[in-house]
Amino acid sequence: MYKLLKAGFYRLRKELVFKLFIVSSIIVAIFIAKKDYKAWGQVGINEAIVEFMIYIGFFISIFVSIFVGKEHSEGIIRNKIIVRT
Amino acid sequence: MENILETKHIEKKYKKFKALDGINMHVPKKAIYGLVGKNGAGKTTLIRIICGLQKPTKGTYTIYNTVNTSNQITKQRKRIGAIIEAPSICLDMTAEDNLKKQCKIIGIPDEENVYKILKTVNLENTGKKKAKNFSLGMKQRLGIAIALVGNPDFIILDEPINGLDPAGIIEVRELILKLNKENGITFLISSHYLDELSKIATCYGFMNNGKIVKEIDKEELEKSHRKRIEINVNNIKECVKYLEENKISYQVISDEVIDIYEKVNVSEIVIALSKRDCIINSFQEKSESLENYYLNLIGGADNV
Repeated sequence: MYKLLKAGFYRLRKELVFKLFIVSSIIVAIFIAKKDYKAWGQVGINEAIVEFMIYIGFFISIFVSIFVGKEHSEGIIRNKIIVRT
Repeated sequence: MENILETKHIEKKYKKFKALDGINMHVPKKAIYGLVGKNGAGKTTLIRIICGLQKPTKGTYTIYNTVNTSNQITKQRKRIGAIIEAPSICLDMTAEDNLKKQCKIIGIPDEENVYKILKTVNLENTGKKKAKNFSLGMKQRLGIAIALVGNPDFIILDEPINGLDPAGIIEVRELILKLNKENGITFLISSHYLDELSKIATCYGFMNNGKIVKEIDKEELEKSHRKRIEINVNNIKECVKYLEENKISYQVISDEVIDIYEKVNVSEIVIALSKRDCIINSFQEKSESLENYYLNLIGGADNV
């Protein structure tokens, strides 16, 4: 399992879509933080966190479906089963 | 000879349909085993079972004398490299990164291994070129390189030359022969390209309707090939008359060509035909192709 995770992270590092989503998440985080800072008092700490979670969920759902689908179509999952680490 | 892989009465059923029906196969060590069969004969199903992607409904198989029901089978499978259906490569990564990733999956130190394998498959100069920009032949070689990670003794290739151009076919063929001779790796190759397979395989297993119809090695196959003599004559009528009179089995191929399926005294035929004003333009001994042998084995071309 550890080996598979290691290989998975190695691939993520090389994945352009992953890098794009990381950058977009940071941009969204900055944007929300700025917005909440301005309206501090009207927005509570819980609301601020939950609002950001929605965006994170949105990015993760798109990324995971693309990433796992790609791994499946390229035969990587089949290869992992054959190697059976 | 020691067998690396043996299957005993393997059966695979999908509801009422029998994809494999009592397969008995023996792959000797250091052999290149050609698995021949038409589409739907069960080649890929058999390979998937051997690689552990599917379970057989009945029967067992042994890899390096370890039976598939044993706990040790996973350990033995690590000694196998395989490409099934298509090479498992990450298209947005370079050849080097693909191999490094495979090293990480298997859990072996990469650097040294990666460069050695890239050199073996002649992909050491691809640099930063991503796998999606590779030619089909290069992708196939990269697939074999990935299968080579972990120093396997046994490599399974399912249709390795499908869709390749003649140059790509030669590249893959040379690579398989090189790995077999230099590293002593055993290969199990399934293919439709019988002529190509006949250039490299040392053993054959012929499959039809989920059964191994025949297992034969190269020497035996060459012996059992029906030899024929192809003669080109200018007067086919006289030639046919002569063959009929002497009860020699033949087949007329065209207006000038006749195939003779018996051992004949060449000088006798030449003299006899020249007396009948029939000149022989050419005389060639040919052996039956693997394709013909396969068709005869599965019951003639009508069966295909």
